[in-house]
Amino acid sequence: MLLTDKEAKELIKKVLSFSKADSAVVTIKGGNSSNIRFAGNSITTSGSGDNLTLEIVSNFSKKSGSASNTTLEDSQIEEVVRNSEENAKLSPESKEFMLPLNSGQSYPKSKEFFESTASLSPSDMASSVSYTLKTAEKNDLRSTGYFETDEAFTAIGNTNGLYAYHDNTFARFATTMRTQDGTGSSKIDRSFADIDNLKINELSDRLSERSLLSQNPRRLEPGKYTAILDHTAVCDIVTGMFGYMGMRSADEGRSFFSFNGKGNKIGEKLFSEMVNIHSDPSDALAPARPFTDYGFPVSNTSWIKDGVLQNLHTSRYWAEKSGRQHVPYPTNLIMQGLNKSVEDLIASTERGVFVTRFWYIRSVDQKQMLLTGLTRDGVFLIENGRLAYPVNNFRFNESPVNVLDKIIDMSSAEKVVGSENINARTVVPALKVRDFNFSTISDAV
Amino acid sequence: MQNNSNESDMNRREFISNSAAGCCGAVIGGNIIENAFSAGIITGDSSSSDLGNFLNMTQDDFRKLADTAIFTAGKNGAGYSDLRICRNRNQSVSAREDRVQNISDNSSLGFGVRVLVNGTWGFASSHLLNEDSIAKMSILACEMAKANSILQKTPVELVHTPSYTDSWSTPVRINPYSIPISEKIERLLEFNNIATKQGANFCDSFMWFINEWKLFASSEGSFIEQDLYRAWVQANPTVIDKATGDFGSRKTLNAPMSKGFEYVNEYPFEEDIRTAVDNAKMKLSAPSVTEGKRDLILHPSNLWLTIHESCGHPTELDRALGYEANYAGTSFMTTDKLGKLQYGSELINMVADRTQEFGLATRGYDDDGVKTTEWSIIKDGVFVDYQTTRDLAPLIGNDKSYACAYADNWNKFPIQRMPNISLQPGRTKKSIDDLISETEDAILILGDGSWSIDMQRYNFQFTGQEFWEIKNGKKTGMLKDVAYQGNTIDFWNSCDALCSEEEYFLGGSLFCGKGEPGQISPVSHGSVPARFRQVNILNTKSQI
Repeated sequence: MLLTDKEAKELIKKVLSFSKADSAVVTIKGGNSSNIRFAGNSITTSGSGDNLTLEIVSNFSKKSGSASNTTLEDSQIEEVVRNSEENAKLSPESKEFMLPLNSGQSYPKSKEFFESTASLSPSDMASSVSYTLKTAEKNDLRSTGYFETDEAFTAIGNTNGLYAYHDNTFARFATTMRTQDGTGSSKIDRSFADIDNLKINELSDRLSERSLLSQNPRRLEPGKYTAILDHTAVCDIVTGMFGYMGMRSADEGRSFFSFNGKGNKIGEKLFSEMVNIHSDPSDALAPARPFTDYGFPVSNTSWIKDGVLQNLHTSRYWAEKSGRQHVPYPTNLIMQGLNKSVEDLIASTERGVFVTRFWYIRSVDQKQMLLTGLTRDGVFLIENGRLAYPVNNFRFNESPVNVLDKIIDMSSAEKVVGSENINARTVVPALKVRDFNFSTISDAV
Repeated sequence: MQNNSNESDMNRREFISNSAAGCCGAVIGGNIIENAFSAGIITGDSSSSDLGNFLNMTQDDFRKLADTAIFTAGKNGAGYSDLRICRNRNQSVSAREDRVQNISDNSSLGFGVRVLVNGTWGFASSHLLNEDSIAKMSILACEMAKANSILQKTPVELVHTPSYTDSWSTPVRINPYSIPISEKIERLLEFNNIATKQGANFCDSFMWFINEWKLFASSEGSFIEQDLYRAWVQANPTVIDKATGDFGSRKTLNAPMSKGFEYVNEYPFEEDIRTAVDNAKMKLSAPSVTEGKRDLILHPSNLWLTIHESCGHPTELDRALGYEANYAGTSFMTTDKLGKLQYGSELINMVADRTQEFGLATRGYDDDGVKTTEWSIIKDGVFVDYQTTRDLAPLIGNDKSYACAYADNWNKFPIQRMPNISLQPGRTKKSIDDLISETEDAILILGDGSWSIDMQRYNFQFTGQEFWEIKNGKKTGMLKDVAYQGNTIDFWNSCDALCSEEEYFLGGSLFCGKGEPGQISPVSHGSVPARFRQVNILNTKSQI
């Protein structure tokens, strides 16, 4: 159920009117979501959902408890409020308790709701992807994919009178095309707030070409290679690093960003000077919610500038305790690129490996920020400025910091969806990096 | 992806949620769990089951809702339709040392209407449970099916199932919702206290109770009510070596099960927590393993996850047919290998069973309304069958479904999910001590650790919680940094000894991930300790 700003405000007021706690925060999320899935060039399932979740966190002094439900009925709303209060009373005092924020917060502008996306009816979805299935069929490929559109809202209110509302739309197209013999595979995954940015036919053409190219991979020994990581692979590297960029873990000496016993590495040049990363809910390509789940404004923040670390995310509690500013976790990430294409990066490479995607990335060592994972859906050897032939998949062991420090060149930035963070709003370039560590061969396709 | 930051920032959770943890099943920790909570949901009215009790609705009221869905769908062209009304409740309490970390109580109620119009599926769902809303969603589901039929190459066919009017509940002895939260907190703090007294520097622990109530009604005349319960409690003590700054931890070895609060009283937590602390200390000073080929004895607390990844996932028929190629992956066990592939040695018998006592995938009926059953997946080492649903079974020429359809909530389309799949005990009497005494040189592994397996399920790498060196029939001491890596076929064919049924142990996970949009599913895997010859052992420290 998509509530308007006014409807959500009234509902929150009603929920809070039941509250007997010292303080409380209500979050309501809802919307309409539709999807279709296909496999073997034929539709398999589809779905449409009308959702709403109402969550309340009640506090008595420094004790907190929460409860949630999907209801709109007064009696059940009251029951959710009572449950959260009972849970709070049973809970011991939290040493890190923070009072709800005051009203009067001011939020950056962010336009993430597009009529173009919202107006697509569930019944229109099939025609949007019919070209994809036909293209696969024509090229003797097997397409399997997923197409989703959403309209949604988030509203937050608390007993101090704070109120925030954001609505957004979302359209995602993700498709894998495999060759009939199962030796070749390629995938494309894109999402936008404005469906007009989602060029499904163009993406489908590119996908079928790349899938045919990936057929019959040859054996390539593991080792360190110059690698060109396509946008999607870079997305996983960058978002993978962000989880570690916390002030507290740095201050407590538990993180890569700790500085030998005296604080953190802010102000240090840790990456190639080509690296510039910021977050900005007002970004036109990757708009995002301009406030946190407790209603704090998320503003334009520089994280890395010319390779120098500018900021680490800092919770309200840790900010107060350490006398710093609260730096909320970003709601989007934008890494600047250069005015070049991926083809330009390949053309300038004598010998290297082109990686289209990563998969199944897991942390190996937190302090060194070492990640492991697999390549998937197309790896190619580059020789003399062109893709020579497809090669096997690899397992890799690499640190995002190393990758971002060993940059030789980069392409223009695009909004893409990574394997590990499908809802992240991320804009990144493709990267050409030195000595990427491919540790072992993986036989799977 | 795991996150190392302790800063509790809700935005981060949102930003990184929906990780492709996937397909791997058994994600313990990390985002799948958070997703589970956001998908799950609950308020704590402690009344249970009687049809509609919590909704103040009678059986007639539900019949009326079902009739509305089925009548409206029929009028709009559906040859088949079903209505699923679900209420999922999810209660969790967690504690660290002497403090409570979190108490939450979530509930989610809604319905989904699924229709088949001219051989194409349509599905629509809503949190508003009333006749108008049901009629509206039935029409929308039919509209979607009609519009989507332009992409249908071959019409969907459903194998026959008898119709049932029935109700089924997990046999629970103590309803977990009848126990006050304060008592649950007390038990957790007691667990942490035991660990600290035993010498742990830290201990975190949690309790989760899940209740899934659902009503299924179909145009074929079925009317089935089910009330499912699951429980999981775990403690994880950590010890720190002050001299080196190294830390080691060892979780309790129990797995989640379909049980009520009696689960908390039945497992010997106190004893296992003390052992966990002692063994975590021992692990800190244990020698690091030498790489190379070694024999392995795998305890069921470790082997369940290997069964899950290397037998459970590749024998999902939808994966084998390529339905999951865009996310979870495909399978090396393709349909041409059915009845031919020597999957494992002759000792290997894997049985799928959705009726198994305490199994997490156990229930009376699946979300197609098919009565659950048991069947062989691997027989005397040979791959003999898949997991199926009503719409998948005809694709390999089967005339009945094995009842593997499941949707994790009212707003999801049911897809093929894993039944409990278990390795059958050996026929000759053998205890784990017997097995150890018959083994010259091996490593014994207990508990599950990290895992990684490729998208076709050939190559895997697993760690564990405890690693013991076996020399000349005796446990000689502990090892650390052990991972075993293998190829599914080589691994299961190298199995040359199984313990007998006295050693049977049920492992499992609440969070097997699959599908788009992502869904979680609970599943158990039982086994006995088993020996595998000449498996590749890696040292996890030297991989870095």
